[in-house]
Order: sequence, then C-alpha cells, then structure tokens
Amino acid sequence: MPEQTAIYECPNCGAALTFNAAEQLFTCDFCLSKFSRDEVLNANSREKMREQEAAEEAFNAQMNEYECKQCGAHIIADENTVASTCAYCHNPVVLVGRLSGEMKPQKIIPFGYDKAAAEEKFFQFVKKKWFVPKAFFVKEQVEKIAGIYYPFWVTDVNTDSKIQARATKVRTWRNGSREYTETSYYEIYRRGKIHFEDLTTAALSEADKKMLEGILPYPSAALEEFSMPYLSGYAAKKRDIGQDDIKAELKGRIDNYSERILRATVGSYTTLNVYGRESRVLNSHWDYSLLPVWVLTYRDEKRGKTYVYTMNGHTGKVHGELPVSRWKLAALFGAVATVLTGLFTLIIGGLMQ
Amino acid sequence: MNITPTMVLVALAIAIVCAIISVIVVIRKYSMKHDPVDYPLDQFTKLNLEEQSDLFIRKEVTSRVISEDKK
Repeated sequence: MPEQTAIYECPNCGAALTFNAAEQLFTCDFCLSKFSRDEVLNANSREKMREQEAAEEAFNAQMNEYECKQCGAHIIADENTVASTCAYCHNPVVLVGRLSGEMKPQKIIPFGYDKAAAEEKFFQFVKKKWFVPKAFFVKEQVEKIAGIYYPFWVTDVNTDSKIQARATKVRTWRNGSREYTETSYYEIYRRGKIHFEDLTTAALSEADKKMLEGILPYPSAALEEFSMPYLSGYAAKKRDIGQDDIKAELKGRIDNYSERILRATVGSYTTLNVYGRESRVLNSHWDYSLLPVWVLTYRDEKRGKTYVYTMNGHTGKVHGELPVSRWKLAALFGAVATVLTGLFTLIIGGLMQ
Repeated sequence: MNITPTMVLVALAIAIVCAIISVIVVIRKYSMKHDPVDYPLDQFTKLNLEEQSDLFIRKEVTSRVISEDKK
C-alpha cells in the first residue's frame, strides 16, 4: 500500500507551500501569500494532524512507493529519501512516515539562501581561484543545482583528558674558541576537563563523506527544533548510520583534538614529545540533525567531465575538485624557477666567497 | 662576486625542485584531497585545566671547539 505523504497547503488558496530561504518564510507561488512556521502549523486542522500521525504509525519500512496527495501519482523513492518533488505535478512532498520514532530528527538548520543566490555564491567562489581556467565556468553549463537536507549527527561531549610528555630546552653560548650547549630535560603533565561543542559527522552511507564534511562547520546558533514544514520545496534524506557506527571514529577525533588543546598549554620548549595521552568521555549529547546542502553539478564539455560540488546551505562554503589551467601552472613553474635560480645563485656565490 | 656555471646549475636544480613542489601544492589544494574536516578548536571547545606540572629532570652540557676557518 502506498505510503501517506503530506503537503502543507496555503490557508488562503489551498496550493502547496514552499519554504523561501531568502525570506525565511513559507510562500505560496499562486496567491503570493507569506506565512511564518507557526502560522503554517496552526493552519493544519486537528483532523489532518491525526491522519498524519496514523500514517506514521502504519508506516512499513520495506515500502518504497508513495502516493502524491495532490495528484495521486504513485512515485518510487529510495529508502533514504524523506522529501522530494512529485515528478508529475511538481508539488513538494514529505514522506512523514519516514521521520517518525527514532528516525525523527531533533534539530534542523533551514536553508539560508535560495537557488539563485547559491549559484551566485558559487561563481563568486570560483572567480577568486586564480588557477581555474578563465572561460571554464559558464552559468549555462550548470547541469543541475539541488537543495537537499542531509542527515548529520551533531554531538556535544565532555571529557577528562590528560597528556604526558618529555620536553627539552636548549641553550648555546660561546666562550673563546669553545661553543657550549646546555640541554635541560623536563617531564610534562597536563590534565583537564574539555567541553566539545557540535562535533558534526555525516550520517548517510550512500553520500560522499568528504563532500559533506568538507563544507563544515555549520553555526550552532542556527540550529532549530526540527519542524516538518521546513522540508517543503527541498529534497531530504534520512540517516542510515547510527551512533554506535561512528562512536569509534568520533573518539579518535576527540583524542587528537584533546592532545592539541593540552599541548597548547605547554610553554615554549625547544622540543616536546607526547608519549602518553588519554581521553575519558564523561557524558555526551547526540542530536540527529538535518543540515542544508546545495549540490551543484557542472558539465565541462571541453574535457568531457562532470564536476560535483557541495555548498553549505547556511554559510556558503564550497567543496569540490576544481579544474586547473595548464598554462597558468606552467607560468607558475616558470616564475618560481626563474626567481629562485637568481636568488640561490646569489646565496651560493656569497657562501663560496 | 665570481659566479661559475656550476653554481648556476646547482641553483637551477634547487629552484626546479621548489617550483615542482609549488605546482604540486596548487594541484592538491584545487583537488581538495586534504582532510576536509574543519573543526575550529578555539570556537567550539572549552578547557578547564585542573592539573599541570613541568618537572625538571636533569641538565647536561656539551662543548666543542670551533676551528678558526669556520668562524
């Protein structure tokens, strides 16, 4: 049986509402009305809310077919999709049943800017990269740009961490024809409580982890309590990576960060060699969060290659491989080789005299 | 200053190595293959240091004679 879906309707005309990232309001493309999140939620009648709750309880995780509430079309979606657009009537649909129970996110960061602004930010980013071929990025070659909410685990952790190290201080001086070197040896110990805020880890195995984590961090102040209407107008994915799956990786990161933080408290020594470290997790708080990502696909006809970029849907940070102009690289090589040849010739000539 | 062809060749060899390194750095930076996880420690962490000790263990002094022509 096809899964139940939800469409958030305009209270004025009944058309589907979409979330306008530029204005941070829900807008109706037909009657041009605008609403806040609370107004949208209140507009849903109690009967509709009960229907949605019943659909969540009756949800069968094995079913990948859903029915568009606007036009009745049967659409197939992969098991991780929780929001999409109906291919027939192009209305946004939210698969409410897939975001229930333990799969319901705790937090969300809404998109901070719209598609046109995303494209503009992307081209501004590319313009600053000197080695990208000048005529490479043309707006017409942008194949696809899509706003997608990706699942992340956002974790706060408190640890009791310590390091043990050996350090040296070296001092030299001369007396006549003799040069003296004094080496002092120290045993270093540091221990303290460290609070880690918003350690963010991608929670979807099908996604390219580096592409998603390359656009971090998101500002924690932008996190809001999860609310379904924010998904309207965008695609969204649900997590398939649990807390236990990433605990070891997260612990490894915490160990490295703890050492860096405690090393920074050690004064200036000539050498510092950490031979022991330990980080004990005291407590942690996990939030399953949906974070906004613009995914941009760019087709380079000349090289016959497709480039994929991810962009932080709140800060605009971009991640992805950039093409490099061979001519500009050759110019860099020539300039560096020429300048340094002259410089090193003078240095060697001076030393040999 | 007397500059010989040998000096120029040595300088050129070192300069070419440096130029190759700079090209590799640019290619790696643009390919975004470095570890992408960016977690600003200053912004997102807070340390409450509870114990610290810098214990002096020992000192040793060595010496060497500097020959005249090395001055």
